[in-house]
Amino acid sequence: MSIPSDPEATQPPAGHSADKGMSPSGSAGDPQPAGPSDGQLVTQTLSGDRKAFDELIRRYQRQAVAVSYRLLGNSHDSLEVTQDAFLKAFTSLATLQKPEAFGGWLMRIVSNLSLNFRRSRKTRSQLPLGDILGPTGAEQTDVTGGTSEWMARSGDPVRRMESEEMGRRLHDALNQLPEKQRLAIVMFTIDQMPQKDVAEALNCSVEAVKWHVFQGRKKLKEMLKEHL
Amino acid sequence: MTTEQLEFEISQYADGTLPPASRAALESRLASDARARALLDEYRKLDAAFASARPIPALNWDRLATAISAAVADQAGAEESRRAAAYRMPWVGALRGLAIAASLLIAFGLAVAVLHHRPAPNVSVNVSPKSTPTGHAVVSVAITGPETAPAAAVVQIDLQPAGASDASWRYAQGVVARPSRVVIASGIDTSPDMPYFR
Repeated sequence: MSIPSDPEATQPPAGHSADKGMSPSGSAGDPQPAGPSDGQLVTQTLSGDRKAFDELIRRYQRQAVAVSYRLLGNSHDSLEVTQDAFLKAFTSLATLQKPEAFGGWLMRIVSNLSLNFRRSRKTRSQLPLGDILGPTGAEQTDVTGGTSEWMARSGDPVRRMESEEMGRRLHDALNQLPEKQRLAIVMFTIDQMPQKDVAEALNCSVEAVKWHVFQGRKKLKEMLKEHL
Repeated sequence: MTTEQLEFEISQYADGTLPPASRAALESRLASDARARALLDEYRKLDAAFASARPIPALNWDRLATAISAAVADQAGAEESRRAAAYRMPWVGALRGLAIAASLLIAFGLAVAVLHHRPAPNVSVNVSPKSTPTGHAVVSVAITGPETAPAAAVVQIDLQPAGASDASWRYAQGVVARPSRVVIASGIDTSPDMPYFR
């Protein structure tokens, strides 16, 4: 087979696959958590072992914050939603039919609460945010006014401004997508959750997730074509 | 393969989820199709923008986990306290049941009383014009009475020639044989400038 003139054109994609993605406890490429499975932890929690639920919190808090943060664009709100999501998950755990699907189920709760939060824009704050937010996170909130804190990490001021601008555009464009496409893009493409977890969160098939991702990316590509 | 299908495959190829069987065919196409390569390039640029968007706020994850765990423990504790209180005072549950039953009985009694004392709505009928051998007749039925009458008003509409007696009209020639189109509207003004009522 001949290789196209553009050496990168057929370079193996750097993205994630359907079966691997960001592990619940960390960034992409982290090993899967050792110890009991999610299903075992759910069962232990239901039998009264609250420490088992603490382990689930540790496994999924990053993913929950990340998804909520993409949808809300504000770290304080995303922390509130994350806590609410875990509380709701704890009280509703007995209704979870597939304990192994805890991650996707939790993300469904997170996304629903985030979307509701956007509509109501609650103002309460129970978490000790000063302790939880690192200096960078607090700084980002102040700088961007809480509407888009994306891409504010570069040390180069010019590059940081460009990144912030692009982040705002991306955030605005995402908000114009239909709900399922937006959630699919946020969970799969940005936060790199496995497709099966996204499918569980969106309550649809993996094939439907692929289609939502494609449709969402296609629209974003069109909306952002002048800035890419 | 349509452009949409090609783009769908390129999108999956870009994020690494295209099945191996389709991947080889797509790579072959990319080698010879400049448009396909341009599409792939567009998706890669979009993915680069996504990649830049991945950082989330710097958080103290241990403290966040501790705070959430504490909130869950508080909630679980409150729930256990509530259950324990109910267990210690079982008569509270019984009293609550009695209160609900009494409330239901009172509500049922009130409903029966209201239904048995419903005032009959007053009905007056105006026919205009009195006789219309051809054309339309507009009948205005005005129902007066309480704003919230407990039952629906029943209006009987008989179509018959003007002047026919009750006993004979059914046999009269030219009875309303073929109009028989009755349009009923409610809650609107029946004035002549409301043509849709006719």
